Amino acid sequence: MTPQRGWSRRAWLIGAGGVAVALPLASCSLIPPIPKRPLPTAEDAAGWLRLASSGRFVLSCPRAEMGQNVLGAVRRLAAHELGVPESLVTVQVAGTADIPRAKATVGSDSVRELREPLASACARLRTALLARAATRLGAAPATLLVEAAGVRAPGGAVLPWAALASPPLTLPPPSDATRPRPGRPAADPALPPPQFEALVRGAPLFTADVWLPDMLHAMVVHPPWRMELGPRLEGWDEAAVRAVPGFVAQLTLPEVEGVVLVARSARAAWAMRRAANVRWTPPLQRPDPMAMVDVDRALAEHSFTRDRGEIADASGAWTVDLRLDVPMAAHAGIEPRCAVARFNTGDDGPALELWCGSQDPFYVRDVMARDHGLPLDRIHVHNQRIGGGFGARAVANIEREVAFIARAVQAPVKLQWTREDEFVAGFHRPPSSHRVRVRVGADGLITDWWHALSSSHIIFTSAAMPPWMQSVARLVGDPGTSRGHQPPYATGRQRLSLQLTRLPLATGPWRGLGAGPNVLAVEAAMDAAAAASGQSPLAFRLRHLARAEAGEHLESPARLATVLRRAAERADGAPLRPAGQGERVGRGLACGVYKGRSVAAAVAEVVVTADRIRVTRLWCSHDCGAIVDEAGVRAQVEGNLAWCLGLVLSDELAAPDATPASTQLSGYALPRIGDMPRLDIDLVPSDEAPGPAGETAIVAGAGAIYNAIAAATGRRPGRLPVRPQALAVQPAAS
Amino acid sequence: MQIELNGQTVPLDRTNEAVPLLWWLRESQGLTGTRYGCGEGACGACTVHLGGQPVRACLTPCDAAADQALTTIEGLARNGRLHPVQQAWLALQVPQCGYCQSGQMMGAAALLARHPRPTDTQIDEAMAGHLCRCGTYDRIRAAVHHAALLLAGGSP
Repeated sequence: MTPQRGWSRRAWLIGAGGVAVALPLASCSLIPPIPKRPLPTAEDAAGWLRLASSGRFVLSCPRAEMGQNVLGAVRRLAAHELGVPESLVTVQVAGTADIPRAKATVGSDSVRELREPLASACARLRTALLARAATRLGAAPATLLVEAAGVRAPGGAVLPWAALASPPLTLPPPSDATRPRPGRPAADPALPPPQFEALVRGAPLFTADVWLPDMLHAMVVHPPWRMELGPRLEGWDEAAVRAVPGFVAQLTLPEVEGVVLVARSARAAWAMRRAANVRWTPPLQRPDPMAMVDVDRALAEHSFTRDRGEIADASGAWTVDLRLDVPMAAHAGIEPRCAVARFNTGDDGPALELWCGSQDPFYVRDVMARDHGLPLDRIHVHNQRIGGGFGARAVANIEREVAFIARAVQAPVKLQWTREDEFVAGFHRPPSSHRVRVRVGADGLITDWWHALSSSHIIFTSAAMPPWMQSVARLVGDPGTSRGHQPPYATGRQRLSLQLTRLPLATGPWRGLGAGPNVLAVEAAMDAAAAASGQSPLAFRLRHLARAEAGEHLESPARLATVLRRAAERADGAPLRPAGQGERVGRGLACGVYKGRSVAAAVAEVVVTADRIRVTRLWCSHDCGAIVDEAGVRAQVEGNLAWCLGLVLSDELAAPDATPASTQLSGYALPRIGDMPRLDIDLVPSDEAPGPAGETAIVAGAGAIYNAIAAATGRRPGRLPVRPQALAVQPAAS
Repeated sequence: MQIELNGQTVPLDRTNEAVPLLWWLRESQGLTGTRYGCGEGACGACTVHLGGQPVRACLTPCDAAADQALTTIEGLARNGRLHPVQQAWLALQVPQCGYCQSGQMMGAAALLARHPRPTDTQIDEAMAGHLCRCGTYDRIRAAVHHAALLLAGGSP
């Protein structure tokens, strides 16, 4: 049973012995499913939580776990509302069969959106349990005490939780009596976050750890260029592939871009991949995406996808005219994608089961329904812990591939993407090219601000949208690309120009979306404007925040000013590092707002020599509203600051030939432990509603590092990542 | 040929001689704590101890481990008690996504076996080949110091 290249999937199935596949063929819709983003309701939340017969509360978390410790946050909230110790609550990543449809895990809004529905569900469950206990104990509900072991009657008898679990409870409707409990949930210091014990023991948690009986192992050798550019498959060494022990199949499928190799074991799939030597004819047009987003070209052509606001005298003199180019960047999560699919026979239960690490498992289910013509309730997506999301897992790519392969070979299949696949077949942070022009009046206040930005799509990602659909979306711009484009400051007249160009490589969501590069450009220009008008970077920002109006882009200018002052004060408490021979030392300041709500400010200290730029200190003040999981928020700030090092000093996925120049981690620079400066993180206490914490500090740290480099060297580099050679620091005399 | 895997003697099939330890561990031994990250020794996620030395399982063929002691993350705990590195990783809540952390802990344990009280510089040098995209580096450094104190029998 050796399938031949060039056979269509359907032909191959017949060739495989005429075994009928009891599935209708895929529907032919050209419109990809649009992700649904319903806000969680109290009714949804009632389906997340139950008391199991073991006496433990079981909570199915409606958001994916990818390192932000959302499992820990919802466990703490649930325990607080139930009035039981956290150790009594088992929390798990929900699959699509476990809970009602839930929104994707994007935009750092989990705690904000889940808190109230979850509190309501817990309060209702608690009320129902107390009512049941009251009946059984013959006491009034108000006299009962909730304890770790169960519910205690006034006389002293304890009804254990396990005894209260059956029969299944009907929750009372939400009412005043089921309102969230006041007070802030306290942490249990002895209890590690969910799944951490398994992590430190190396227990199975990730998709690649899933093993099914009779499972086959697949690889897809993807084309180096996107198929829409027109590369042509020339062929591969089929005999060499077939000779690999453990060989099962080599085939192409109309729905999968590339050559599919199937083996009995992972090691055999790797050996087949090495043997395949797949050859492609390059497409005729292979433009460099960085050149395609050149902002000066967009300015010269006076053509922008969106152009808002007006400024005076566009061709007149500017106090600051700063260009900043930010290259494309890879997510480079350490876990390469993996997915497992199994089609089941029989009329009951799921017809398709899929194991994957997705930020949007319900969207994946929609895609499966479309691809395979199955009703939603017969598709179960078992979502797994994700080894680094950062936006990369918000679309369905490997999930589609593995299901088509499993359907073709009629066996459970595990598909492992290699690191090369991640670079070639994944999608990336789009490059962006900025020109920020600022005019400062005689009073030292900004009169005109013009930020022209040329980039590509993020929310309307080209990884999921065909070109025609993207041109329709063009009418509304791309709120992901323009996130952070609007400065938080009072700037007098203001013009924001945005050009979006579909690029030869797929672009899409990346940590912070456009906010990282956009706010960096804003903060670099603010620093330059302060310097050019003889004002201190702190005072200049505070003056323009004091005059700023609150709006959707910035709920509270005062909160932003507060973090700015706090970060500056904390840094001022530490003397500037003395410069050694051949060293330039400087400090820089920056601040920003994320999604209008959370604010952060940072101060960086850098040491620049002829061959190295080293960040030695980072102070960050961060206000994301009320905090449920302080250790988790602190970890997110630490992580974002590490990403800031990358954003300014290393992130770059070059693709001069319209394909990644490097497809290995050894050729892609990431921050390392020795690059990590001493951190000072200041979480501002707040009772405001929780705001985003997973992406906020990226808007502060990167600008601070960039501005520190400028303070140290007097240069504002026009492109990232900043190389020491661009700063012309003289080596120390020997 | 055989390998002493986490204290147990395991026979090594001749057909596996050239197979990287990573896939032999994950597939033949069901030990999935050793993780695939890059396949070229660049990320450190697959770090195991061979004869007490940290090696990259994705690049090390099985026959290189013949007749040697091989320790994986699953074998780091002894007699049901977590290794001080694992204890420190829990106490300081080091992981974020956690995918690289098996390798980080194996790297840290090997470092502490060589230098029971490492300096920051020694930590940075020893751990330079371990990538963490989430950015847990600051906590890794602190956790290595914490583990050093645990190893010395002190309370951090």
